[in-house]
Formats: sequence, structure tokens, C-alpha cells
Amino acid sequence: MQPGAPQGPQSGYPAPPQGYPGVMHPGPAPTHQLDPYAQVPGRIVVAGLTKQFKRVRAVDNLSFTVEPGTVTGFLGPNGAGKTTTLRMLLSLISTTAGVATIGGRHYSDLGAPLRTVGAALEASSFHLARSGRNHLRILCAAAEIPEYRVDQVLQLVGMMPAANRKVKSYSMGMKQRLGLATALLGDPQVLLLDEPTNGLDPEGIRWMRGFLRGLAAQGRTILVSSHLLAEVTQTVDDVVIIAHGQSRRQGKVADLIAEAKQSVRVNTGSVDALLQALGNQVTVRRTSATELYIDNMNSKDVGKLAHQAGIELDELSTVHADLEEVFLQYTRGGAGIR
Amino acid sequence: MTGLLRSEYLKIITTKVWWTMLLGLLGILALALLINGVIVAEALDNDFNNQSLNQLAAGIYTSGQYFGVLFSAILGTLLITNEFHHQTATSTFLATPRRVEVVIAKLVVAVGWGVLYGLMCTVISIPVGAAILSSLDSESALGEGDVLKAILLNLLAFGVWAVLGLGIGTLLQNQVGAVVTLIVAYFGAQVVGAILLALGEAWDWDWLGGVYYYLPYGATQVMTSADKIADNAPAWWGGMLLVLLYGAVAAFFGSWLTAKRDIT
Repeated sequence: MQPGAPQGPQSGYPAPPQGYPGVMHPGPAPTHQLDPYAQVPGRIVVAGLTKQFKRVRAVDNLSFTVEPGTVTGFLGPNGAGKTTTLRMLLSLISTTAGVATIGGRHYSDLGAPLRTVGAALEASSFHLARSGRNHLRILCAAAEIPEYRVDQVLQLVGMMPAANRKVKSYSMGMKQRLGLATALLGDPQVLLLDEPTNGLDPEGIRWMRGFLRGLAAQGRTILVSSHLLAEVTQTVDDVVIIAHGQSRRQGKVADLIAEAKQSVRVNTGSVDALLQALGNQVTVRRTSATELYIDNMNSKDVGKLAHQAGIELDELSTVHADLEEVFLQYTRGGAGIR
Repeated sequence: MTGLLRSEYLKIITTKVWWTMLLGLLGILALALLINGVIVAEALDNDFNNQSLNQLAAGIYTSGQYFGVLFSAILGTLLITNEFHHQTATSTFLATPRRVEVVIAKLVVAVGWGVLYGLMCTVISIPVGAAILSSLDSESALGEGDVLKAILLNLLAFGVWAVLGLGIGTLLQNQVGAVVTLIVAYFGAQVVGAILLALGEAWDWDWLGGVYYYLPYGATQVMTSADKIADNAPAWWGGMLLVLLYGAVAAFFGSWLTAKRDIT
């Protein structure tokens, strides 16, 4: 673990927003006090949200905001409470405490919910003996959306060729696409996507990333959950990291990437000469007879130094610490089976 | 609401359950007509076996009811348990977060579908039944008010049983569990009723034997008979009120449970 890495709530990092006035833990003053009922179209507000299942506190006093037109990654290990949070946002499960609103309203109070919010939760929630097209037709009827939207969204996700086949013949990737089509049926401003890349092959993942970027470019508010940070860094602006149902880190994804420490890898026949040239100002790890890792100096300076000392370098490259490592530091101990 | 009704209607016709059950019902109807024909022939030979012609005629014109209302109930059960079995409840309640509206739409469609099953049995039973009666040199009794009442209330029975099935489906959620429970309870109640009837006679406790007529299928029989079915049974309208009461309780609990339940 790198020095200064967050070890818990006592670390030097800003504490995640805690508590919502009047709900559960009074705690320290919240860093943002947005009125969850302020009618800002496309804004998602989660405030002091808590869900106690019989024995498990799946979501514990969680607060965050997604501003209109931004793409937020909702990250956490499996079992951290992501799906439970999304289901509370969608009025599918009741809340134990706190509020979750979209555009200042509870989902169940939205007049035309599918035209306001589109959600893709699990890729398995289709009747296997029904065709993809009929699945969409049924929802169109229920939400009073004109049926021509069915073919439009099928086209959009590239599912036209398989539209009349039964869902049971679909691959995981096709089910994910059908899920996306379902979410887009009402052409909503807000999209909630639960692990849309789950179970996809690399090509499917690439397609999904591109598709999400396209949706984001249209100015939609997107909250996309994932248990892999690297999965969403190319797509999202902000991140909310949770573990054990609690917020662990919120902020710009760029800041998170910056936290991933950089070092310079050097391969040279004259390791000793280079070490001498570097002096004491840097931290060096020697990993083999010819290889060094140099911290707190960039590759350009290392190259200049070597050149001045007349040392021939076989390799000079910048190495990023694994982004997942940063993610793990926030979520450590918050994984899995509870 | 029209959109919701159309949605529920589409849910039924986009899978094959409805017509496989319809085919099964047709097979059972043929068997029921055969059996009822034999019963009527035997009764006519034996001085009506203490039954009126109206009663015998109503019996043959409501052929298929015994299994038909069970099929109707199973369809009602599937309408709700399908949503949980295939996890389509999520998308259903996302499209319509006011869940009671969904349940009401399901109830309406289930009743409609049940009545349709009943109608199908009726349009076959009437000409076939009339032909059987005329072949036995008997009147058709189709002009009799009591017979027509029994035929119409038979359609109501198909509708209400769909509601009962839907209620059990919301209660149990598990598809296989709900269907099995429905079938076991349906036939189990007949057995219990028969035992109570026998005990009531043995001990001379009239009310005990009458208990059967207050159970859902007993009340259905009371409602769809041309004559009073037994001394210790309620009148036809009492049976109808009971059947409607069972249906209302099932519908109420179905709505209430569905509205408050977490959809995970």
C-alpha cells in the first residue's frame, strides 16, 4: 500500500458526506445540503438513504447527488448495496430511512416514469418464452408509449435481427442490449444502469462503452453501477464509491486517477552508475540486475540525468499503479458476502 | 388504464400457455359431456333419481365446470406468478409504479379470460347437451329461467375463480408452489367436504354436512344449480354472495400484498 493511502474514515481524505438532517445519524454537518425535493429536472438526490433487510443493513445512511447532464459511476464490490440503492431510487423496494428522488420526486410519484427515467437492472428479467419485440410492446402499452418506439430502440441497440426470437435463445450480450432498449423506450433524460457490462465479452464491453459515451454526449444524466473502476473511468465524470452500504469516496474521476501513483521503469546495463547519478533525492526499487523503479521523478528528468552521466538506457517508461488498487483501498473489507 | 389492460392482454397472448390450457380444457369438456350424458340417460331411465329435469339439464349445460374453474384459477395464478418467476415484475412496476393499478388490470384481464374459457365451454355444451337430451326423448329445458340462470352464473364462476387464483398467486409468489397448492387445495376441499358430509349424516349433525357448501367450490355448485342443491346448503344467491366474497378477499389481499412488497 502506498503511503498516505486512505485506510478508513481517519485518513486525510475528505470525509464522505454524512447524514441527512433529521435522519438516523445526526453526525457531522453534511458537506452538501441539497433539498431532495427541489424540482431540478434530471437531478438525482440520495439523502441519508438506509435499507435494513431482516439481518443485513444493505444501505447505511448513504448520500450523494448526480447533477443533470453528468455521468456518474456508482462503484463498489459485489454486495456493497449498489443494486439495493438503485431499487430504492426506483421505488421497487421500500426505504428504512432517508429519501431518494429523481428531479425532486419519488419515482412512484412521477407522472410518466418511463419518459423521465430509464432503468436497466438485471439482464435476466425477461420472460424466456417471449420475443424481445413483444417484451418491449408490453411495456409500451403499459406506459402508453407509441409502439413505433419499439423498432426505434431495437435499431438503436442493434437488436433488429433478433427481435422476433425468444429471449431464451439470446446470449448475455443480447440480453444486456435488450435491457438497454427497455431503458431507452421512453427516451428518458435520466438513465440508471446496473452493471451493464456484466457478463459481456471484450467486444461487447467495447460496444457498451461506446454506446454509453454516445448517450452521455446527448446530455443525459447517467448513473452507471459497476464493481470495476477501470470499467467506467473512460465513460464517467464523477464517481461514488461505496462499501458495506456506506459511502467511501465521492468526487471527480480525474482526481481518483491522479491518486494512482506513477513511477518510472528503467532498464540499463549500468544500474550502479545510474543509481549514483540519481543520488538520494529519489526512492528507488531494484527489481532485477538491470531493472529499476524510480518514484518521485518523471521520466523526462531521469532521461536527462542518464544522458548527462553518459548512461545508455534500454528502457525508460512511466508506469501507472493499477487503478483497481486505488479502488481496492477504498473498498477493502467491504466486499462480498454479508 | 386501457394501456395497462392491453399490456396484460399482450402478456397472455405472447406466450403459449393460454392456448395449451384451452386445448386441455376442450379435451376435458369432451370427457365431461360424455359422463354427464351417461348420468342424464341413467337418471331419465330411473325416474330422474329424485332430480328435476331442470337440474339435470343445468348439469349438462355447465359441463366442464369442475375442471374449467380450476383452469381459470391456474391462469389467474400464472398471471401474477409469471412476473416473479421471470422477474418481469421489475419492468412491470417500473412502467407502472402505482402497483394497485397493475393488480386491478390483472384482475380485469383474468376475469375476462376466465369468462372466455367459460363461454367456450358453454357454446359447446348447449348444442351438444340439447342434442343428448333430445336423443333421450327429453325436452331441452333451455327456455326455463332456472336453467338459464345456472348457465349465466356458470360464466360468473369462471370469472371469480380466476380472481381466486390470482389471489393465491400473490400470496405464494412461487409459481410451481402456487399452482400445486391451488390444485391440492381444490381437490383436497372436495375430499374434506365429502368426509364432513359423511360424518354429518352419521352423527346427524346437519350443519357439519353443510360446511362443504360454504367452501369456494361448494358455493360455486350451489350458485350454478337450477334447484336448491341440498337442505343444508344456502340458496343460489347465498352461494353467489359467498363466491363473490371469496373473490373480493382474494383481490384485496392480492392488491395489498403486491403494493407493499419489495421487488428484489
